[in-house]
Amino acid sequence: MSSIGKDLRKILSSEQVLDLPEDVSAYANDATFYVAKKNPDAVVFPASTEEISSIIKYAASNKIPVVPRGAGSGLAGGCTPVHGGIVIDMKRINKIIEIDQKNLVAVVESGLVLEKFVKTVEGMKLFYPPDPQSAEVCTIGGNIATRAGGPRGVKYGTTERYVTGIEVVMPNGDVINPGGRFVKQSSGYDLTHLFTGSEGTLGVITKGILRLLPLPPAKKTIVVTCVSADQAAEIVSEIIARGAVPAVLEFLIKLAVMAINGYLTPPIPLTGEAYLLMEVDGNEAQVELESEEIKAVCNELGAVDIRIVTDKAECETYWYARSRLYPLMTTIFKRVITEDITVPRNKIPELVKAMQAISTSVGIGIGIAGHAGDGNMHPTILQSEVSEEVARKADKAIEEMIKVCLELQGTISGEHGIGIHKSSFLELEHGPKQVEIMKSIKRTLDPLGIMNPGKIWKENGGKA
Amino acid sequence: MKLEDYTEPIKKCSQCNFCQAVCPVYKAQESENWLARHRLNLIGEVFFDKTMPASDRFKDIIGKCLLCTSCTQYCSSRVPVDEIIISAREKIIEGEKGLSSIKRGIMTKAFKEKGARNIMIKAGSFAQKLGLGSDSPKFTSKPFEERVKDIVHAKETKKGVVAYYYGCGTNLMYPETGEALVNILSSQGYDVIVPKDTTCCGIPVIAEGEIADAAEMMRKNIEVLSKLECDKVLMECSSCMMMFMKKSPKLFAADDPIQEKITALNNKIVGGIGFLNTVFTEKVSGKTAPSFTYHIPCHKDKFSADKLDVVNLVSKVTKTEYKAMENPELCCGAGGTYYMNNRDISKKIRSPKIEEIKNSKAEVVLTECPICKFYLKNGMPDMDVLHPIEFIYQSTK
Repeated sequence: MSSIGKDLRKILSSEQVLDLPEDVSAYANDATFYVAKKNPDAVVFPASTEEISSIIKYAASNKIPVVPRGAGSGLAGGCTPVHGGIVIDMKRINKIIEIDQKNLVAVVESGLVLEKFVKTVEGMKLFYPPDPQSAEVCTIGGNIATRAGGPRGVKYGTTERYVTGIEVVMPNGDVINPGGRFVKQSSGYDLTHLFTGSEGTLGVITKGILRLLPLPPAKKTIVVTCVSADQAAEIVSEIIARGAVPAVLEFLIKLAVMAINGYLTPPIPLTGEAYLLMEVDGNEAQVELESEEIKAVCNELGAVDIRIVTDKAECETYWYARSRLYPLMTTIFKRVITEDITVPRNKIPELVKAMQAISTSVGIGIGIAGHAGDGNMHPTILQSEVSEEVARKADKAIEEMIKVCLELQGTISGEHGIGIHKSSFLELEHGPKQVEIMKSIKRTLDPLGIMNPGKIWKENGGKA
Repeated sequence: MKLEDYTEPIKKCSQCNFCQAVCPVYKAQESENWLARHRLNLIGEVFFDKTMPASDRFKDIIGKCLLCTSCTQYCSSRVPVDEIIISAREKIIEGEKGLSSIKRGIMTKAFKEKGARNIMIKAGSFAQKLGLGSDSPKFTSKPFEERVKDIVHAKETKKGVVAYYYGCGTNLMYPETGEALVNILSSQGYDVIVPKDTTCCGIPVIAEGEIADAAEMMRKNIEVLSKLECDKVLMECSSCMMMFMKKSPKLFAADDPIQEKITALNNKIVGGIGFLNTVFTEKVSGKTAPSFTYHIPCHKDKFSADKLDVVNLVSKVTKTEYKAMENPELCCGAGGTYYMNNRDISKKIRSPKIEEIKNSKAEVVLTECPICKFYLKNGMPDMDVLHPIEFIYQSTK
């Protein structure tokens, strides 16, 4: 039993603490292989905000790092312990406290699994749009901490747009409740959104107040087969330019379609090199109008095939298949790294060309299967073998992608967060002045530096 | 099914952690050390990278997998998690002595030997013999194989000949399931061959890592069943069926001549429910039966499009109402003999299942797996839990 484990068992019941190496190593990584594994000294399973506060007070008085963790399904190493310490597994704090239909908000605990929340509100004809593709496991707290999003970003934005208030345990154990149930707030600094996306570096988010929408009554899925990636990119730009706003606008290369076809009956015919997978939603008339308009654009620009699916259950099979893409890729490749660089939407054709050029010049496969509608393209590095040389090429490709993305006035992360994975690139996007502001906020709120150290920016770039 | 065969498949885990959505042990324990992802990573460290010893805690973590195959079925990276766990268990028990190996020895013998299956009954409850307490199944005093002839002839104009492989659960615990199937088939015009020189499908022993013993049992079964002159080979237990269809080819070397027989036999094997769905193609005017809900056994393809074939069949042949559970595919927690060694975990897994059954307001629970049937009944003694074929038989005879 580690000494930290021993101390924690005085604060919590012994059933709420793990500290054997065979157990805690389960918390050394997230859904990535490219982030170095490091075991925490202990993992705790608090059942309340008060217990979290006690844990943090203990950690602060002993200067022990604390890493909050949702489902461990992140793609940037945001919830992994760089310096050991205590991982707080938030998943037992998972209640839906209230669904306030009069104000169209929900109050939930942060360990709540997204899919459970979505099903509950949809059962009440309400709608919570953020849709990271790991919905069946990822937690609301993890979503808030990374400003997570998914395909619906194009029309509905990502998690931060739905957070109107939070509860946070601060790095000294204090509990604060910024924001509230209102739809607007113009008083003081926006602390709610300072913590939203802070990746566990400023405190532990324990509750969220989330905005809800009425559930759109109608939707359709549209599958477009395109001659080339360039053509698909042009269609995307044209759809957006004409003012049609699909709820989802996904771009898939042929390889990705081959991978997801196993889940589809009938499968998508492999007659093109690139594909668009769209959903339009709203009232019946609006859905009809938008799908016709999209169809017209696709026809005008010479798409090979357009499939419009109206059966609700059949539509769902496409979106389920799409959400399996990341794990499916490892059935074809030995390793994959999914990037989430995001560019202004009119730059998508340029981005697609640039990715192809990087793939050729670096000599490594890059697949594209992304949320084209919001410019978040998910270029994916596909590795057919595991070797140091391939790993070097992957690093090189990521570096070049990031350069291109910033030249195109994009951001290095649209929805995964920075974590460890992209910490060396933060300053390239934000510049030294903005990064220094971030660090000074961190120093002010977490003077001991115990909250999720080693994340967002490189540590050798100066201690926060 | 040697751990070395999984050198590449184990690396296919994308680390997505989506197994959290379906792992019953994780849901009961609520910590990631019980997840498939972690078990695979640990097996990699202990047996492939050799960076960690096979400690007691490691063995415990590998031992507490229920082998329900939920993660394997759900995994988009298609990692055969259950097979990797089984072959890791084989590594763990290599050269292991002491009580656990004695227990395994008795168990293997009991399942392997036809005679011993009966000795087991005569000696009273096998599980109780092993000191496993009052939650163990009660065995019938007259097993199925003593109740039925070697061939039961068609009572109507003969449509065909089928063989019926009955599992240990049916033979020793629920012979009425087997009798129901044989009676339905013969009254529908089928000669039913009941080969009594088969043995256990091997699932109870393979779960302990005794792969060689399971292979020996399976070889015998395949030899016996391959010789039969019949159109189809029927099974009504989802776990036996999984062993034949999915695991048997992996129990033997690729160049073992048995592989050809396995391929030929697997083309003839069909589930009892699937077969009856082809016999009763249209709705028949069955008797009024109580409303039912359906628990999908884990070893059935529980995420497949065909997962509710039972509901389809029952609705065709009886006048009844199907009252769906919210999640019919949730595990019941039994896991063969797992619940005997992991009582707390199994009960925690079972409780949401029982809640869902109660919420369905159905009068009867149907499920194909004899262990699910036993364990659900054990958790809700006032509820009728039946094999769907038994239920159909009662309302058609």
